[in-house]
Amino acid sequence: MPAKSPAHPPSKSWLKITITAGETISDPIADFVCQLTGGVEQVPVATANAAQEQIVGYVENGPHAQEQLKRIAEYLAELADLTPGEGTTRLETEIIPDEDWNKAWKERFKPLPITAHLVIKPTWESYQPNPGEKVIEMDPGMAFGTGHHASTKLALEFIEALFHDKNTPPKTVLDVGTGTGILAMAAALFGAQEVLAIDNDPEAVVVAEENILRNALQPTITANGVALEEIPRQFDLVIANIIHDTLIELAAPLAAHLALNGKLIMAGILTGPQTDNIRATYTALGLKHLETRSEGEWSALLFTRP
Amino acid sequence: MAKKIEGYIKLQIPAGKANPSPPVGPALGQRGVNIMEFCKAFNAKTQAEGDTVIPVVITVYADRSFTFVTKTPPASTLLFKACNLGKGSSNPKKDRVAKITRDKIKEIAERKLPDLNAYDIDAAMRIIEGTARSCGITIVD
Repeated sequence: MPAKSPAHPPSKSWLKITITAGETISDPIADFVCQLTGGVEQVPVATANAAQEQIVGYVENGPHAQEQLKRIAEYLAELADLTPGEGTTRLETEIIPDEDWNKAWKERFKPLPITAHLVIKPTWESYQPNPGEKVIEMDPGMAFGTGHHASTKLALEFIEALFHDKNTPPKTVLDVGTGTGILAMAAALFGAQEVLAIDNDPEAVVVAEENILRNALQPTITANGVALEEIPRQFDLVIANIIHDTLIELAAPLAAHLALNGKLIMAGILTGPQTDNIRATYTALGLKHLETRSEGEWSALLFTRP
Repeated sequence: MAKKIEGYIKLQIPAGKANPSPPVGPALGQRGVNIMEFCKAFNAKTQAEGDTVIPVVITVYADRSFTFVTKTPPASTLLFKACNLGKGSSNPKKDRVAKITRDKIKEIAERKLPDLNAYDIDAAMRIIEGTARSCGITIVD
């Protein structure tokens, strides 16, 4: 009879090695640990008297782990002799179990009902929408606008409200600083006929294009990196979830792209002086402030061109 | 996006070989960053760099989205390459593993200058000389 394999084979674990050292000598330490372990993380540590850094490396907790640890300890002792006056370094270890970090990350993202009629769903989850509910399929990645931020949520609430107003739903939409394309996609799903989504970050444009394709919204939305000033037309709805400083910088061109009776949604603004400044700046350009929505420290504002 | 930034993650990993194992998995996972998306993008960007270790700084935004920039290779990596060494000495005081000229130090300092805490080439050279000594490399004129 073949030997029975143990019911619980010893599970893999890692020896996490953390070295705390002064900033001036942390780079050579990081290089040394990196050669030995194949990669390191460097974490700045704020202390009262000196800038320090933690160097974190991992070795498989196997037969060679203690030997590698010994080499690091020896290196640190040598380095201390070579660089007197750099303060003491501290070496700490911890055993951590192996895990599927990618799976653990995915488990943090579930379908997210972001407004009354809109759900953001990661690609690996399935979701059955309720009647009247729209779904955007999208994973968090290399562009802003995953839905997990108040500024995105507030902008989406305004978009939803405008399209649910049966009298004058916007037909044409311009999304400035589109990021993932989330606001443009929401506008398209809620009934916009033509959406232009622009971003000055080429990586964001790539991400937005992927998301638009994944959600089959390419007949309605065009994403590109064209500059705001180069778009020779006006829109029923202009959306800009950026930050206060950029919204002030772009005030004139943003207002100029708004059609008569068109609506302008701005988000990424901190509640308080930033909100007041946006309101004053855009009112001075002839727009009328209609509504402000806030969540925590963030606010979004809605204007119209009378 | 001043206020939308949650923090930064600084890693040193081999070009083209990022994977979800430590240190990448735990570092990114605990801050909610898409691990596979980072690995794919980093590997695509650095695959032409051979076996070099690449420092990378990842900016994490408040909604778990991220961007990253790669930096110049670590000073020690450039020093070992200049000396045709695989790696440095683990006993830098006792074992002087190689010699390097001041001209070579200057070359490396010029390459590293954008990423160093140094205002001029002389300050950058002093940092690189310090790294050379800590790796067991002797500087000669």
